[in-house]
Amino acid sequence: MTKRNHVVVIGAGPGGYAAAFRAADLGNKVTLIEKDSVLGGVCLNRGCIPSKTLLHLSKIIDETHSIKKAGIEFSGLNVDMGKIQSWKNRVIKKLGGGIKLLAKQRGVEVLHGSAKFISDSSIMVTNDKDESITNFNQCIIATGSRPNSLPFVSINHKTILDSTSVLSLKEIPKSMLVVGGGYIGLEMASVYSSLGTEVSVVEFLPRLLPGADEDLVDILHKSIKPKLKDILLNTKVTSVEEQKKGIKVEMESEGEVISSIYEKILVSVGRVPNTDNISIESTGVNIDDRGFISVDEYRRTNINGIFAIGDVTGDPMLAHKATHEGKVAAEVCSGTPNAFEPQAIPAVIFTDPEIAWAGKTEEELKNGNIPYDKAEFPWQASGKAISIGRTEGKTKILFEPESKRVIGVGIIGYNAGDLIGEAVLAIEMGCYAEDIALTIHPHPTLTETFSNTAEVMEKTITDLYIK
Amino acid sequence: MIDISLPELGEGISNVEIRDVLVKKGDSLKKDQVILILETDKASMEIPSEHEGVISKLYVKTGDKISPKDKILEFDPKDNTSESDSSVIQNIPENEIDEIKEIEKTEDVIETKASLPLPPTPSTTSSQSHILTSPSTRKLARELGCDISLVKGSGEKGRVSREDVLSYVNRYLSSNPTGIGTDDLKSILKDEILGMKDDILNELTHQESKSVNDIDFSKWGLIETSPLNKIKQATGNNMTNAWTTIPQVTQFDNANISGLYKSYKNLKGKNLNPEIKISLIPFYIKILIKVIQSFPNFNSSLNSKGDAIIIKKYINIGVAVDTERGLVVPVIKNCEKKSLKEITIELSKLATKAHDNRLSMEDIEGGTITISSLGGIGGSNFTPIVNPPQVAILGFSKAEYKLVYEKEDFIKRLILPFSLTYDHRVIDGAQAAKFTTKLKKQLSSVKLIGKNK
Repeated sequence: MTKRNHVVVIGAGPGGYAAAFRAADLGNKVTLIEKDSVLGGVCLNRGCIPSKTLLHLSKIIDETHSIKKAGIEFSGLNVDMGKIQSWKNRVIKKLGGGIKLLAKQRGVEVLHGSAKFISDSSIMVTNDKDESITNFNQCIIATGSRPNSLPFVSINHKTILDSTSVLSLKEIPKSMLVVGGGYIGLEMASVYSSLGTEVSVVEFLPRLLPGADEDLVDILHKSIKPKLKDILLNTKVTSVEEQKKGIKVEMESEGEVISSIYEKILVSVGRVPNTDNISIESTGVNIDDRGFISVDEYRRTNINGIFAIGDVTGDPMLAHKATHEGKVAAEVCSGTPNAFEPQAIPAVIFTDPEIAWAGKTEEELKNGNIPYDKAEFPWQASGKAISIGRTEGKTKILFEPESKRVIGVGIIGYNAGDLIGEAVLAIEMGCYAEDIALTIHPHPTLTETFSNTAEVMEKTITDLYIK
Repeated sequence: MIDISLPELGEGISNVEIRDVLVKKGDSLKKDQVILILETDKASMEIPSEHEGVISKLYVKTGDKISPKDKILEFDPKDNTSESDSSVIQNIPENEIDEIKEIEKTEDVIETKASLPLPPTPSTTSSQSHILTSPSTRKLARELGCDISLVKGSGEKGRVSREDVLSYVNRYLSSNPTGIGTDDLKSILKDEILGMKDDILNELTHQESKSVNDIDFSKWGLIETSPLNKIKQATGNNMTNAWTTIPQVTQFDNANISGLYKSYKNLKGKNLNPEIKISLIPFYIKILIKVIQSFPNFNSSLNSKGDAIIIKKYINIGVAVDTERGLVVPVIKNCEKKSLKEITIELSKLATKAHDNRLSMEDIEGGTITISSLGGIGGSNFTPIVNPPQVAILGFSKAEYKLVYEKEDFIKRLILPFSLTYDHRVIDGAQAAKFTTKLKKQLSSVKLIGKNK
């Protein structure tokens, strides 16, 4: 019996389980440590998957309203929150079971319990039943992140919620204040406003979704505004107090004090890395002052044999980034040269309409004083968008000026998230405007808007008249 | 002098904390180089430079609050021509020019020859601009240990294809003594296509040692299996080819290099440029050239039919450099036309590039004879392996003081053991002994010139 390389992966989220499975497939002995009783991490259990399950339902409700003008009307809306929750839990359970099976098929040892490093080559796993020490040759830290809070607010998960507890409400609240106009806040605002909650959003910065391009956010702002009670920008929450009638929230906007009462509030003000609860100091791995682990292109930390992937390594905190990093780390662990060198990482906000982008944003290019060319295609000119009554959208491509190589793409509109994949491929492959314009896209689909936009750049567009 | 100020960061973002200042006074600034990292409530932001130049003043430090239009630094713009990243030699300050002149003087002691102007050294850092290719080609380059930014793309607008990477690696390795042969590369190409990389390579590289692989060493204790990268595996195969196909003989000799060593110490003492490493090898090269000029068939190759030798009228000397990734052999071209100073500077730069894994194709191809020096490490004599299509390789060991019987007395001398391995199909034993004898004489005679100083 030859002794196999022992790789320990901490955290079974989308990054961790991908790393564990890839490492096992490459012949390593793999132990996957997970603090929850189920696999899948935040993404599956209290993030991407449950939120998208709920968003799908809210989208259908919205669509039943919007097709009234086309002559279809349903009478009455009956929402059974209990059934919704059990539907959502079935989705999670199904996917979680799938991961468990995949681990078993590969012979990956799964340990449930909290992990604490003892040294740079051993780790202790503790659960209700026992305590065990595991030695490793290599370790991949994939402990992810958790919701951040405000210093003067204590999350009680009943009336004051975070991104986890907001997914498990048993009843539809009458009113809700979403603190933080980032993607999690807006996605949850979409869900509950569709279910009938009177939702307000408060954001400290002058606009929603900092990081996304303003022209895209403006379109979203216009379309969600009628569904929400208030969108308070440039507004700071100064106090949160539980009262009998509900939660009293005081806010300050340009010197003016606003005070309101809400049944629930959701605090969605970013995420913090889980590096403070694994005794990372025992390893000597460097973390920065915000708690993130610094890694190189191979996802190696400063300590030989210890890797880190996903949210713990910093922005963008996205499941698909973590998955790719996990595979890179597993391959490097196994002596296969690979590196994390994406040309673009897509980001999607699953509001309705969705916003998706990849590569450079216009704002990044402007801030960096990088010259670029831009072409846009308004969805008002898309046959598919008109036929489904969803013309509030646009596709935008940013090009390197001389060569017209694609360097960034931004899309807002129905199913934008499903359209962005092609843009990521275009950036990875170094496509030029002409490559996209000459690629036949099926009609009538929303994917056509991508080639139409390239045609605008190439001045070969016939679906618009541009003088 | 020009000031750089903070650009607009987006609506309403001002009075932001500086998390890190990544430059300091005196740094030369490149375009797009990140100067500052800012910390906003939501994210950290990198602020790149739009200009090139040398920083003369910094207005900010870590922890400061900064708003758009605030000054960050003052810099001295410089001419942004294509030579902007060129060698240290072109940008050396006054005192270092003096010191280089010193090198020239010392060199004149050994050989009076007008030194040629220095050729411009190509930039060693490739531009960080986008390389037009696909993700799978990037990965293939990684697997073959090849820096894709060095590969010239053959496609439209310089697009790098898989074939470009493979032919680059092939060319690189076929001019490298430890390289992969064309057949091996074809196998790599083939297994790329079949997706059966490991199986084929294992077969390729372990054909003869299969019986070793079958032994279960863990029966007798703990073992650890450490995989060789694919290039190293194929390299081993090529070494086997060189060893089994060339009838090679090694001739040993010793030379008294007491005088040469003095010249070397003298030059080393005068060199104040830390970028340039002075070693004994350029002295060996200078002397070796004279010897090769008397024995031109040591600078030849056997043709493929084996019925003629091709004598090269240029002397390109490969120097084996030990790096983290393994053995590499950069080549100094046209040594017969170069001064000691030029060879010293070129070797020093090639060695740096080798260690930084930045050698280009041009740096390693076209060698006509190779030098391998273990003098810095130790050992008394060794038998280097001829690097085909070359026919000779020199091995220099560690020089040591010995008592030598000379003029009826024992005198302390610095003795350099060296060896010559040659292809017996091209060179016969008597010729080889004449070659080493001449080389010994030349190495030993440097002391006479040293006295003139």
